[in-house]
Amino acid sequence: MSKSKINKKLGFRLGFLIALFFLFFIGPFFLPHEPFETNISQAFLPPSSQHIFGTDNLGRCIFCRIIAGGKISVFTSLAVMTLSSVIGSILGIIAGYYGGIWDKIISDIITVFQAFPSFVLAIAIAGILGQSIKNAIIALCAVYWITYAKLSRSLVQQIRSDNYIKAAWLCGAPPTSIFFKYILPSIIGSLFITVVLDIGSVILSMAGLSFLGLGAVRPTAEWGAVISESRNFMQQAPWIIGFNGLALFLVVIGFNLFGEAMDEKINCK
Amino acid sequence: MEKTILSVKNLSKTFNQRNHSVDAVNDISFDLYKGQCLALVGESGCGKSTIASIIAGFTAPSGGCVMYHNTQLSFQNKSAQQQRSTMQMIFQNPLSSLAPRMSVLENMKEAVIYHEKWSNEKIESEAIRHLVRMGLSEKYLNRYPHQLSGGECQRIAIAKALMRQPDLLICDEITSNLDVCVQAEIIRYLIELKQSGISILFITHDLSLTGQLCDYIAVMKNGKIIESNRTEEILNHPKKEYTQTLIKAAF
Repeated sequence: MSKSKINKKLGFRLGFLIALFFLFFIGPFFLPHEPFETNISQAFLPPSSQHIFGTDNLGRCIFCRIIAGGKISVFTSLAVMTLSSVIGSILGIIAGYYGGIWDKIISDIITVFQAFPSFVLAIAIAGILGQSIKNAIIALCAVYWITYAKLSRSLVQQIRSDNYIKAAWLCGAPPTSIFFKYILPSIIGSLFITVVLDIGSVILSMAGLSFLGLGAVRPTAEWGAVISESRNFMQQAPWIIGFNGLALFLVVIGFNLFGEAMDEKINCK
Repeated sequence: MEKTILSVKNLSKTFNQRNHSVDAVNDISFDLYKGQCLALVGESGCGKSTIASIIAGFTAPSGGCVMYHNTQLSFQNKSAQQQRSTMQMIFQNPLSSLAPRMSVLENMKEAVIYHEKWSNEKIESEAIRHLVRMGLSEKYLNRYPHQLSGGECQRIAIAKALMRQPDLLICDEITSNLDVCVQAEIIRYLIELKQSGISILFITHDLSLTGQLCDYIAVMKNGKIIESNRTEEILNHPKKEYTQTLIKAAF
């Protein structure tokens, strides 16, 4: 694919994500209804001109709750990705760069964490810590850092043995220069793409924890929590679960498509 | 009397694997004199590159020692890098020798900045001088490795190595991935370098490349030097059957 086509694709997908960000972070200031205001007389209203996505069992506007909840879903997943990628990458880089005892200790910790199915581990940690968004973030970080530790470790190990790194060492480059000039620029692209591609999965995991009652606390409009609450009314008011699911789908697909376009852009010479 | 730049004494390297150990280099000794070229010749896997790797400080030996400018070289510590400040190595794969995210100028700059306090203008003028010496021009300065051919990359790698006028140049199979014309050009450049006083350790599996360039040849087999002598002697009067086979294969 030509560079201009890749740039166009990346621009379009980035534009879509920026639009979503504006919608979730600035939108709440311009909502037609208060997302947490209940009005039983307006419960289970189907989509109409007054409530474009209808209302839920307590008469709250679903559109307003999706916009308000989007900020929480996106913010929490970005927090998980930032924390887990930074912690995982630092540990992976230390293991890959220094090797020896550091590599053994960090690899053993990774092996222990990998021994558990990832979502089961997140549920266990969130369950022990108690229901809150903060604890759900900690639980998901405990699962997602492994990906970045493994990835950065293998990337650093691979690059360290490249001839241009050996040549740099022979030219007198100190370890800090070798790391910041040669190794970091070579791995940052792959790590960034993985982060972007994982955001969708983290949003789903966060929704999963909230669905199980281990994430957002009522009346927070986090999408997973809303889906969990509304599953009892699926027959009666399918629009509640449908529009929340659609919002989740659009954001996940938006991040995945952006990650894919970034991958093409970075790996295109 | 010829001045010894590099002296390898009873060098050995054993790689321990799960069930067994491999003696990649076994009790190797040789000397390299100032302004001369020594070829280490042998089939793939005979330990030539391991020797280069030990001399350059990337691998620690299992036994023996390496003397450079009459100083015993250390390994895997801070002084190891400093001791090798007048040594450069060129690798087999031309593309992997240059940092892929740096331009040619940035790559060449790296050879200087850790030892010299040159201005950017001086670095650039020296880079151009060495590029021209290698048959290239200043238009290559802003190009990136992926925009260059294998031969161009290898010439730039040599130009980079020459930036600080090294005393010893280790060439590890540097012509293996290049076509015959480029090979001949590279050999011509190396002869010029040798005449300017740089000592060269030339590692190759192809004896045909050694005739014009090398003063001495050491033939290796299974981690040992089985025959070594002046180039004319080796090429015209080989004593070992293995050397004769290599010569037959090359010419």
